[in-house]
Amino acid sequence: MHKQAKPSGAGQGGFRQAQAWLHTWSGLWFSWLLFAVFLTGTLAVFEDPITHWMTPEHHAEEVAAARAVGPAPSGPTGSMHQRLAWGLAYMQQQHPGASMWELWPADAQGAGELRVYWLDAQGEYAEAQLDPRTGEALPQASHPPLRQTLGGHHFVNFHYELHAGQIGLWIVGIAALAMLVALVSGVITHRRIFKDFFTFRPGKGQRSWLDAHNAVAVLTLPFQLMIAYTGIALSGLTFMPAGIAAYFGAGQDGTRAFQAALNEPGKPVRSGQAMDVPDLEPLVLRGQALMGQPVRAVVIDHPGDAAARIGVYGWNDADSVRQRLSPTSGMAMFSAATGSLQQVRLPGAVDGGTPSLVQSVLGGLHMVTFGGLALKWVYFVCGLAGSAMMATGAILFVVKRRAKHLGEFGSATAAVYRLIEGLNVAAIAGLSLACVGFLWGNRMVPLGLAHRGDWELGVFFGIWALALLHAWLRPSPAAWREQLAALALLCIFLPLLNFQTTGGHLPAYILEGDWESAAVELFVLAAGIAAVCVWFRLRRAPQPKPRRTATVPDDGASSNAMPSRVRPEGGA
Amino acid sequence: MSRYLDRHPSMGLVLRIVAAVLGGYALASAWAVLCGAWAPTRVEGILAGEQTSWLLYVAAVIWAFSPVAPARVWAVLVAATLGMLAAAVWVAQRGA
Repeated sequence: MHKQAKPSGAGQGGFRQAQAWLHTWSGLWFSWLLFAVFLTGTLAVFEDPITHWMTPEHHAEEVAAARAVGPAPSGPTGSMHQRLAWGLAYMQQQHPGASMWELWPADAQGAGELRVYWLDAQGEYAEAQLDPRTGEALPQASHPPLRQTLGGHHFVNFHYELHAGQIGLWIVGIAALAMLVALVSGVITHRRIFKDFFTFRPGKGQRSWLDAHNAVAVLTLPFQLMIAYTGIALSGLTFMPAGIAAYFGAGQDGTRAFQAALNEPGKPVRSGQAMDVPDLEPLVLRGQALMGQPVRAVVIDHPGDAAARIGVYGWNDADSVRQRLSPTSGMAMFSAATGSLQQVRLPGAVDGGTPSLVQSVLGGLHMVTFGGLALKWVYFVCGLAGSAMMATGAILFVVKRRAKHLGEFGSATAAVYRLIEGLNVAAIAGLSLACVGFLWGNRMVPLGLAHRGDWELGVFFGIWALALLHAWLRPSPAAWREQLAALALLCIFLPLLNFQTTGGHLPAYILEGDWESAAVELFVLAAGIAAVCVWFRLRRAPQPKPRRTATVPDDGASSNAMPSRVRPEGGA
Repeated sequence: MSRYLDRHPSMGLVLRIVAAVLGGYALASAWAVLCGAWAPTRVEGILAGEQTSWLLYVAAVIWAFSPVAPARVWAVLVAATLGMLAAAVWVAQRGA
């Protein structure tokens, strides 16, 4: 019955056929962007190690900081009492009119840096650093570091807003919703989804691509659903502002009023009566006892006013963060005038009821703030599987049509297929090339260049644009081979480039116990070896036969369209 | 309408896509507004409505591409959106 001509198109055939159509097309048109978002988002899991590798000049400082346990080598630093008094004195002298003061007196051990923040006249966040030995303001770092770089944050920013601000955020949000649609319609299409998972027929061309696509998707399906949904929900109020607009007004003012009502319902209004900020130490000590955490920040709303209130926030320790889905810290809020306790929040809890707690957990789930290093690796592997799901899906689309021309675009079909093949090469091989090229840029862009970080970003986008051009100019099999070869070369020679430019190398990293740098280079090497393997396979693979135009319309189950005897679902 | 769509199948596709993308979004937005009216605490209702609205949006897109006539998809999405908005107004006024 599969040979029988069935209608295939939007909303045609049975429910399953209709969903197959939706899966094919929503998947295809968003697969390139989603692959880019997924691969960079996967790398973003290890933002810190990548930043570490990209700032080799900081290694020595970090090693020194790790060895210096206790007071800094150049003299004892102030006690908590002194630090709070210095911070307060600085704010009273320098920024008496600010609407908010925020002191970060010390690290969780009562040592380390002393920082102060405030909201300036424009409502912008401003900061200064004070000397923890004397309380004097430290001069602002007047020149940026020589190797100015976005570091691993490039991958974080790209994966959620494409370095394009709000527009990029919306584009990625739309793609994430398309991904949810593709996942759900994909599950509906694959009736025997778990049986499919245990089916793998390697070396069989189209069937192998289908099996691989099914296997990575089914294996990591809960992760893919979770990461797409939490990704949308993280910026959900931006994407779905109707609720706020209906009750708090549209635009920025409405959002601000909503956030104030949600997060700080008891925030006092300025009374107009002057009153000095009281001694902070007694409040800090009480707050620490109430929330059971050392103080991280002291936030003073309306300083200098009789209606001022003082919030004491705690440091989360690493162990509790590993075990808690909600990453918030403890907080105790006091009235400045009376010293009375207004509110206590225990670590992990949130203000604003269950939905706020859900929001905090969704954020924690997406950004893997809990679970420690082991879970980061689980996310990394699942993220790579998700990238593979997009890549195999996009390749499957082309492989299927290489054997059988389906004529979806009328007379333009051949040209559109060519366009799609080029986009596949540029999106999959080209983006990978751009990612490792970004690391090359970090070592090759001259140090001390103005806006050096932007130049590194330029290397990333430049390589990607060249890859797209190359993919459209060259025949597609050659484009795949050449870009994979370039990827392999850039990956395998990255450690050499690093040695040439900074003197750092893998054995030294391992001996020094610098596992962050070592892991970055080991992963890049592994990616290079994988690229070599794929390149060898492609070189040996037979050239694809020229297309023939289908005389029988596609049987509708698009991603399973093949003669009935090899269909994984068998007869229906 | 169905006769017109038989002769112009691509218009049916356009109608479905617009229904799925904009109609689904309108439906999800109306849900978020209704949740804001409904919940005892308005801010919590708005946030919970936004968090759950995505399930409704995805379901609407899936349904818009199922074998149902585009006219029916449009009718149901418009009716459900207006119904939820009316319910939101009614609940909000009763509460006020």
